[in-house]
Amino acid sequence: MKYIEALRNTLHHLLEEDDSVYIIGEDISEPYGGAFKVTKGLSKKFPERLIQTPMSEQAFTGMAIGMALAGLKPIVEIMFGDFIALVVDQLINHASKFWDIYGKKLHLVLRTPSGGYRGYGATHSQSLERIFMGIPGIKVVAPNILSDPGEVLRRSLYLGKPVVLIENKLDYGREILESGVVDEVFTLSIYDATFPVSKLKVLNESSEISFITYGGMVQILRDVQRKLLFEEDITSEIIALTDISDYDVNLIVQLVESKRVLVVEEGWSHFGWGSQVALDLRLMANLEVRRVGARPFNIPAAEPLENHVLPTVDRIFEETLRMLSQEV
Amino acid sequence: MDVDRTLYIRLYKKMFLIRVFEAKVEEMFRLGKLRGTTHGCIGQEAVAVGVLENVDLSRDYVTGTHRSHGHFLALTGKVFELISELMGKKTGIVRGKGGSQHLHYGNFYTNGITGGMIPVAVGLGMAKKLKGEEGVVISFLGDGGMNEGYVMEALNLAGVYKTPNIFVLENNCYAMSTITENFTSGKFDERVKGFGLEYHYLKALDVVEVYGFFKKIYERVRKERYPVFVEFETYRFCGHSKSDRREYVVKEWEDFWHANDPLEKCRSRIPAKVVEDVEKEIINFVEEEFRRVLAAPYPDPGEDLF
Ligand SMILES: Cc1ncc(C[n+]2csc(CCOP(=O)(O)OP(=O)(O)O)c2C)c(N)n1
Ligand SMILES: [Mg+2]
Repeated sequence: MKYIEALRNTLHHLLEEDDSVYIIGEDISEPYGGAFKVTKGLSKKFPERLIQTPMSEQAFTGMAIGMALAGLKPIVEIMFGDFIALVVDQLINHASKFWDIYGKKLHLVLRTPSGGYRGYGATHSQSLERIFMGIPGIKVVAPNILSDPGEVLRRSLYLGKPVVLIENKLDYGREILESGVVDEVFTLSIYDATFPVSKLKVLNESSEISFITYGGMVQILRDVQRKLLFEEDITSEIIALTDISDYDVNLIVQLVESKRVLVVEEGWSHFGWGSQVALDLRLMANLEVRRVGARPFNIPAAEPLENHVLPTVDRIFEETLRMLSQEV
Repeated sequence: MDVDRTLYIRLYKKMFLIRVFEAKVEEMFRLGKLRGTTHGCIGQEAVAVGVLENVDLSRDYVTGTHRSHGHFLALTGKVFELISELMGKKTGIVRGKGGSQHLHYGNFYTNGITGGMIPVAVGLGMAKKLKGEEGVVISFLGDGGMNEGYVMEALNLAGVYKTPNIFVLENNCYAMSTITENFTSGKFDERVKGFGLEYHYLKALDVVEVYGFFKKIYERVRKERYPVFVEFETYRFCGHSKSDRREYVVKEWEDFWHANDPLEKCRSRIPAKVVEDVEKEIINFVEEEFRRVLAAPYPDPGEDLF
């Protein structure tokens, strides 16, 4: 099944099963069905439950927070991940405080597609989820193609705490992998924590390097993994987190088979997600940890520039070879 | 030839250039020769051309939107630089870094956050005021953008500080697939007047009328230096962006605007022979510029990122 279908099916089921679920956002109803078509068809069946909005991101996010405070379960769609900058105050200074100070459970998910590689330029390509990481009372969650995105969405909505759910634009059209043997030479295992953690590794081999990542980077790492195996005979594993702001470090350490870990993210490395993950791993285990992420530039539209700024297969491949050439 | 006719010809050349350019961009996307996205302004040319014919970029500022190819071409006529930008070439106006939505040329700026440049435009106006400079700030925005809180806040600021801003609302009826009037409580004119701003309205059917109408407002703001809001009713014949199949359009509006296409109206005021020559020249020019861009170099991370 495709990632987008898994999300759409789950939205459909949630609307069907639970009267308190609503979907809120711009251009989500028919005939458009959302800028990325995730809600396509849903307004036909649930006309009252899809609340299409004008372009007023801050206010309709606030409206969703109010609905959640009153016991409903709104799912907000912010059309592009870049536009979450507009709703920061409602999430950080409102929603995150209610959960804690009012002692109120909030069933609220804010879904948004993040990421670049599409030539859309500086305001339509960013991975800004970092803004919400480390804010108590907000969880940042990102599905990927190594487990069911729909299940991640469902758990987010029933968590009782505001969740920013980071989808990936390029992942929408990709197939979700089933656990077990993949492409004859790899094997996928899914560890069922509060939010799933997946590991894709070479079948019956121990891994020489471990990649820790989330979201759309999984696909790029799959290309790196194949290139390493087929061109260099190097075994690697991809450990993909879905709870990216409150991950279980112990579980990750248990899953890591190698002495070398490369933390890979699409967002800017500097002050990034990978910095925190690297530190957490270093404090917990004797591992050699490096990071790869976006270089510190606004994301350019031109292809050669965008590919210089964002992490690519070649850059991750080179970094891996460099790490493996050094003694640990 | 009378003055009116010369003006029609001058403005027609610009409108036609924009339409040919946007159609060519759509074709390039269809052929898979462009990356990213694009927002065309086919149908809305009379606003860009009529308004900006008044403007002098050496002293005025202009801010655009995500849909600003027309604004840029009306101001500069620089086809090669714009298509270079869309194709991510080094010869683009911002070296291929911006793409369709993030343009800069002289005192002209655009960005991809709808309505986001309106507060910034008030800042440009504020700077003019504080520095005692002449010139005004002309800012385009869409009907959808009128529902962003920061746009409303910015109108208030312009009114409070009496900045030399002219806000140009291109009301093309839609925000992506959303029929804006169904998602807008109250009326834009009442909103604007509620902020104490002077409000003007024109249905942009005739580019020369747009030009003359805007000229009066522009000259007054240049002299008297206070914020003014102008709403143009217009219509987009193309999709919102490259992938839009336009399933949401209202037939009555489609029919009206196709029967009253401002480009056709302008063309009808010019002798057929002149039209023929002008069109041929522009089509050849655009084709040639697109061809030239294919050979242009791509930017280089070492030189072009800083
Ligand atoms: C803050 C923000 N929200 C949403 C978008 C996505 N988006 C781009 S254009 C657009 C519709 C804009 O409508 P309008 O302001 O009427 O301008 P038009 O496209 O009609 O020129 C939307 C929803 C955006 N770029 N920025
Ligand atoms: Mg509009």
